Amino acid sequence: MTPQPRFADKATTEAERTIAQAASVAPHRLKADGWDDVMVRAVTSSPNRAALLPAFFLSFALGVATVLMLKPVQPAPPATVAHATAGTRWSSKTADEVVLESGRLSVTTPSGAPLRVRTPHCELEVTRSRFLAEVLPGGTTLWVEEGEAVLRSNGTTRVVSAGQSLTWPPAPVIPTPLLALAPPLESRCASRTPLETRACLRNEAAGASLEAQAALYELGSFEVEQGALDDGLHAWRESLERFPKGVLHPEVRLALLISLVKARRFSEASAAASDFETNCAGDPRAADVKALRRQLED
Amino acid sequence: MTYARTTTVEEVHRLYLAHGPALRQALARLAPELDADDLLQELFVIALSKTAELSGARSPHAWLYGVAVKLAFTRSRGARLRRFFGLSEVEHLALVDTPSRSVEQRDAQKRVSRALESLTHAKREVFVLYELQGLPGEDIAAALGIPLKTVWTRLFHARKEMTAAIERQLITESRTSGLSRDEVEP
Repeated sequence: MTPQPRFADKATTEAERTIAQAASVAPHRLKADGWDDVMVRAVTSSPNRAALLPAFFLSFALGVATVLMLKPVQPAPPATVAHATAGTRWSSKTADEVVLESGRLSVTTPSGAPLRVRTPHCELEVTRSRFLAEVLPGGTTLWVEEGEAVLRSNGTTRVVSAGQSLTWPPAPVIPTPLLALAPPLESRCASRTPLETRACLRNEAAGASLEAQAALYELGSFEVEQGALDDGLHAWRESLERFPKGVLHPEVRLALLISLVKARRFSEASAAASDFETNCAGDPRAADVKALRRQLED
Repeated sequence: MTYARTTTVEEVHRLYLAHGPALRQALARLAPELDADDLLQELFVIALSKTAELSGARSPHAWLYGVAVKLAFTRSRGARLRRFFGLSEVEHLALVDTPSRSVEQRDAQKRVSRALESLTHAKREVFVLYELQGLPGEDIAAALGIPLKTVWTRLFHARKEMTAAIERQLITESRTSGLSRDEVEP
């Protein structure tokens, strides 16, 4: 069975036109703080429960001691609780220290004793706080929902309060001249739905003409805007393979570099910067790219 | 130390910005009795907790729609059960309108929404994703975890039922308004 055209493309009866009308309704814009709400919910929800064992055993031991001794004791302090997503690498040798090597951990520390969290990039100290920490090759990101966290690294201290987030180390500052990338050439693929735009650009990108080169550049930018960074990088790399000395090759190399820096993929960005310096030595932006590469390598 | 390549929070955020509005619209169409903003939040909380799975998906876009469909179905079923046991008031959330919608579009949305209620959830999902959200068949198959042929089969039946249901509505409306079918149709 093969598909028939959508009613939105071909409607012959009134009922079909009604469906086409409904399909033409554009979606509403999202709430301005919608993503913040998602993050707060992510920190407070617990799809994968993984209580800190030392804190659990401490509470359990206190409970058993109470029963055996039959003496009134102070209630055990609420345990520190951590939730890790699948694939996270973390460990805890003592009740007041956690080592987070990679992945994501959300932690609630209701008691007054400070908890230290060590990552490959920094050390966090939290007391009576609820926060989410994510460790990736490019850095550690911290979102604090309640309380406060103190971040320390190489003599630098930062305080992150409730409602704030911080990524460490900070991303290199991209020199302004590098941010003024050439806008994509106007193509016949503009003003369509995202799926149609992608298909149109892929179609335009076949061939050896300047239009094909421009379509690949635009496809890369489009994919990155759509949240598909790897697809965008793939389009730009294909452009450099097929048109290594094409008119747009400096812009493509810069677009690759800037996207990798923004994604905090610093080692790949450093390679992209070297690539630009090698292939675009005479480009007026080469000095700024060199300065950026030095920041990446520091 | 090497790291497995997983989708980062930042990348999920970008997916939220790029596809959130359309996903929210799909959720509102699949489960009109529920709060689409709430479902969208939950969808992305799930995405944040399953970044490894999202990284491995052939199309993150299709993966998100797959989760949206399952979420809408599960929550709708839960809401129906609660209503059956008298645990919650039935709440019909009105579509939030903006001045950018024409009268014809608003009327069309209402008719389509009512007609969708008469479909089974399997046909409704395929119809919403293909006809209203514009997803290609391959993405729908990936999202729902069904063969492409099944997508086309369900769509075929869904289209027949939807057009019949909307035809009935139009006839009823014309009878109620006292106008003939010819007069209703511009």
